[in-house]
Formats: sequence, structure tokens, C-alpha cells
Amino acid sequence: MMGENDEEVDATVLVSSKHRELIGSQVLSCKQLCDLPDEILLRVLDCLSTRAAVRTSVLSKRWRHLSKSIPSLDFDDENFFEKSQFLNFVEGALSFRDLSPLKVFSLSCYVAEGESRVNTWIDAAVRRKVQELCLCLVVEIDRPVEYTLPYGVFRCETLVKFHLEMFYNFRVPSEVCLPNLKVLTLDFVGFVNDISFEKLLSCPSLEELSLKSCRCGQIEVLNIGAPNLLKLSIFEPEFFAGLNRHCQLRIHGVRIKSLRYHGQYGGGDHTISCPSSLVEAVIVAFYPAEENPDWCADRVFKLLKGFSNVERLTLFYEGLWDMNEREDLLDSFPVFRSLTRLKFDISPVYLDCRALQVMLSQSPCLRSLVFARGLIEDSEMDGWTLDPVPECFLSSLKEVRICNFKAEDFELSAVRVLLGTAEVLEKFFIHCSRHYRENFQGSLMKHVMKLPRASDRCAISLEFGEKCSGCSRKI
Amino acid sequence: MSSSPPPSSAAASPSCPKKMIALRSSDGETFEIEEAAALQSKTLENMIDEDCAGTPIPLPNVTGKILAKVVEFCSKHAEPGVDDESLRAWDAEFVNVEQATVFDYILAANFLEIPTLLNLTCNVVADMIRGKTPDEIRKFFNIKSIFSPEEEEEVRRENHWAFE
Repeated sequence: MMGENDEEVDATVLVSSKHRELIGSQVLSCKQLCDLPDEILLRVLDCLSTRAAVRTSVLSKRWRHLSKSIPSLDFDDENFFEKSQFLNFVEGALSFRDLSPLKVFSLSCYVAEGESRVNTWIDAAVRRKVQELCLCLVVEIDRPVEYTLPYGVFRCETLVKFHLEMFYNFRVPSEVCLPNLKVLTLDFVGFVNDISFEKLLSCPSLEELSLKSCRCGQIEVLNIGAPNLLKLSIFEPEFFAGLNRHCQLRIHGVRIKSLRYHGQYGGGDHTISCPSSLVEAVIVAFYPAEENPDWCADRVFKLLKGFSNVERLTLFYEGLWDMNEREDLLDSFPVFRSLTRLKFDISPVYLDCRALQVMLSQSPCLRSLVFARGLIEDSEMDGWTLDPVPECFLSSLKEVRICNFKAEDFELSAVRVLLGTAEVLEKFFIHCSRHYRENFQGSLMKHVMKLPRASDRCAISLEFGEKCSGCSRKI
Repeated sequence: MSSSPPPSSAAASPSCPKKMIALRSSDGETFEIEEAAALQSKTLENMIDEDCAGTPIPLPNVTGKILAKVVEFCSKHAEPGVDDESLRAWDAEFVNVEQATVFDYILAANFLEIPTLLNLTCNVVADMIRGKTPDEIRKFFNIKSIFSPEEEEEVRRENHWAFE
């Protein structure tokens, strides 16, 4: 839409009439809180707890009116000494609040006396066109094992974010229509019926999906059909078989950028529709001892081929180690053309492992290398070094980080090898475990500084203490 | 309010060679702001896209005094390599001003659509409310209550559950 009235007499002011309307001409200023417009006061109320916000209703008529339409409602029974106080508060707040749209509804409580009351509250949120629903429900053990949320939740057109934390089996109705749901996080939830569960995972606008400690033990094939999915995260703590070990994951969306899997080393075949869209992958798997190493090697190899376009990869070291004896796999190892950051987790890495060296050689643009559980050189040969030196060590590797360093001889040897071969290294970062003193007396820094360095601009930092600033949060 | 000239970038589009944006306040003062800093304002972002001539963008609803501070805020938040803790401390100092000034910041942030500044300043006001009794709040903000004592009592009764 061009050309209307935007020729101005004053040539120095080239602002179209559209902007002129936008700006207006009145100077925005005020001296008193009450001179601020309603929309801003509501924002201020939104920064307060629900209780504090509602209490402003007694300030004046205007505040009473405003407090009836606070954008968010947050109820947590932990903030109340008695259950009855909590119930009164929630019921009071819900009847006080008008029907204007609700941005956020957050409820965290113990559900003892049967679902109906809690479900009425959730319904009240749905009726107010809630955008973000956050439910943490602790259901009494003696109760039936299934909990039914109000069906309105699954048909809420305005819902954009849904977080559900509920250690119970969860029935998804057959009618699921959540056209605007973008973010879905499910913690500890159990799913019995895979068909309906899959409906939830196929929402057309779904971009982020997180399943944490969810129990879907019966499901053999998990179809994650969301066409616009960008981020998928599956997390299971150790020894927790949430997903069936042979469960196949099928990711249908072709836009997926980030995939994080942390859990049991699953046996099922996984398919990603469009692996080339992936930018980041994290595969941290706990290794079941009884698996056949050959079979594991095949699985990991297939995974790695799928991830060969990523820019950032976190991998569990044992997956590589299984490939050591497999010439066929090492010979056809994929090239990681875009990989700039590679991190190993779960167990210490052996620098003399052939498969690791092959992987490094096939990562020509690698800039950052992280060994989150330590690095070892176990060749038992004096003066062992990397031969040949991976290409990235000569041209792109700028940063190395070793965590959980215990300063054993074979760890120091690994440090020696890296420092001696990485020619463009700029930062070498070591986080020492608190036990390192058992293995090393004297100044560790002095020792490391004395090691020959292939790069003349490499800065070495040592960090001590419980948490490694670089990666403790990023598992 | 000028910053050092930004490094030349190969990505500069040919129709907008300048990386500095000029803003003019209601009282005629002109301020220069780096494009990266200006883009923190959605309002300015829209205007920059359409007006690349390099002439000052007039903002007749913001005074020079406030615009100067807004430019300072945006520039600070566009600086690379500032850690979270330092930025938080800087923000705290930034809003350590009298009430009326905070309100002016809010209005400017709202009009210019700067989410970081709007969140910061609204939280400052919320902090002033939090923990005070209704009477204290009224006094602090000079809120005139037209409630008669009976009306006020009724409201309190209506919301007794909030005061338990």
C-alpha cells in the first residue's frame, strides 16, 4: 500500500502518513501511577503473585476493576498452610475474575478428594480462552490409576503452551483439536492408549515437544506426527524404562532442528523423516550390558549417518567404542560437514580409540571439543600421539574442554597429546574433580603450562569445584 | 549519545548503507543509535525498514531527557559479551530513579515496544507494591480512593479469601 499522502512539503521528514498516525503527537509522560493506562497497570499486576494482585482490589474503584482481569492466575497449594485456605482462595479468585482472556493458568496441587473440583477449575481456565496451561497434579495413591482431565483442554483453540506433570495414567480423548498448540511438555505422565496419545503429538502447530520420565511401556511404535516440529526432547533417568526398550520412534516433521534423547539405549529402529534439517542432536544413552556389541555398533552407525548434517552433537562415547573392530563401518564413516561442536558424555573417552579418531578426521570444521566425563590416553606407549593428526586439529579446532579431570597419568598424557597436536587452539579448559589431589601433588597449572604446545596462542584455564561452568547444566 | 562506529559488514544492504539511526525527540534534540540497538524497539524496527534515507526519525511523544536514557538502555543491551550478572546490576542502577521517571520509561518502552525495558520497569513498580498494605500502597502512589468506608468494607468482604 504505497503512495497515499506520503509526499510531504517538508522534505527532511520522510515519514509516511501511516507512521504519523502511529506516533500521534502527544508527549507521553506522567507523574503518578494512576496516570498510566489500564493495559500497563495490568502488566504491573501480572508481575505480582495472584494473591498480591487481587489484594489491590481494595485500593480504589479503578483497581478493583483492573484486578478482576489480571492476565495470569497462579495457584500453588504449597503457599497455604491449610487445604481449606487453598480451596477458598482458588474458588474465590475464579469467581472474582471476569471472563476476559487468560494468558496463563498455573495450578500445582494435591488432588485428594476426587477430580471434580480440580477439573472445574481447569474448565474455568479453558472457558477464559487460556493460552498457557501449567498443571502439576499430585494424585493420591489409593485412587484409581487413571486421571481424566476435562475434555475441554483437548479442544482449547487458544492453547499455545501446555505443561502437564502428573504421576498418573492419562487418558487422551479421541477428539483432539489444538490448532494453536506450540509447546507441549509432559513429565511423569503415563500413556496407555497409543492412538490417542499420538493425536496429541500430531498437533499442526506443535513446535516443541518434551517427554520427561513418561511411561509408555506398551507402545511399540511412537509416531510423532507434528508436521512443524522444531525441537524434540526425550529424557529418562537411569534405570527407568519409560519407553519400551524396543519402541520405535518415528519423527514425521521435516523441519526438526533439535533432537535430544537421554535415556536407555533403545532397541527400536528410529526414523527421522528429514534428518538434514537437524542442527543439533544430543544422544546420551545408558548402555544395557547384555546387548551384542555388533548390533549396537550397527545401530549407532545408523544414527550417526542420520546426524551427519548437524552443527552440534553430543554423543555417548560407548557408542563409538563399539565400532572399533568394525572396519566396514569405519571405512564408510559419514563426513560431518557442518559439525562445529562435538561433546562426549556419560563416560570417559579414550583418545587412542580408533573410532574416535576416525570421527575426528571426518569432522573437518570442528571448532569445539568437549569431554564432559574426562579424557584418557591408554595406549601404554611412551610418547604416543595422534597419527595422523585429524584435519580439524590443523585448521579449525579452537577450543577443548575436559571436565571431571582427576589428574591421573593417563589423563595428563591425553592432555599432552592434544596440546601437542592442535595447531590453532585458542582455549584449553580443564575442570578438575575434587579428587585430583589424590593423584597429583604440586602445581597442576605449572605442569600443564610446561607441556609443548602446537598452537602459540593457546590459553589454558583450570577450574576447581563442584560444578563445571561449561557443561554442568547442559546434560 | 553516539557509540563508536560499528565495523563494516559485508551484509549491509545497498539501500541502507548507514548503520547509525538518528532519532529526534519532542523537544528537537537528536540522538544517534546503532542499528543493532535500535532493533530492540519493534516500533523502530518497522520504521527503519521503511525509511532508509538516514534522516532523523521524529518521535514527538518522547522528550529528549527520556529518549537519551532509552537510547542508553538499548545500546547497553545490544553490547556483545556482557554477562548476565553485570547486565542485571546495570539494569538495577538504571531504574534506580524517582517514581515519575520510571513511569516515563514505562510509557516510552510501551510506545517503542521494547520488551526488555517494559518488563524491567513494570517489575520495578510491582516491587514497590509488593509487601505493602493497601494503605501504604495508596500513600506511596498517591492513589485517591473514592470508596466510602462502607464500600471498602464490602470489597474487603468480597475478597476476604485473598486476605486470609
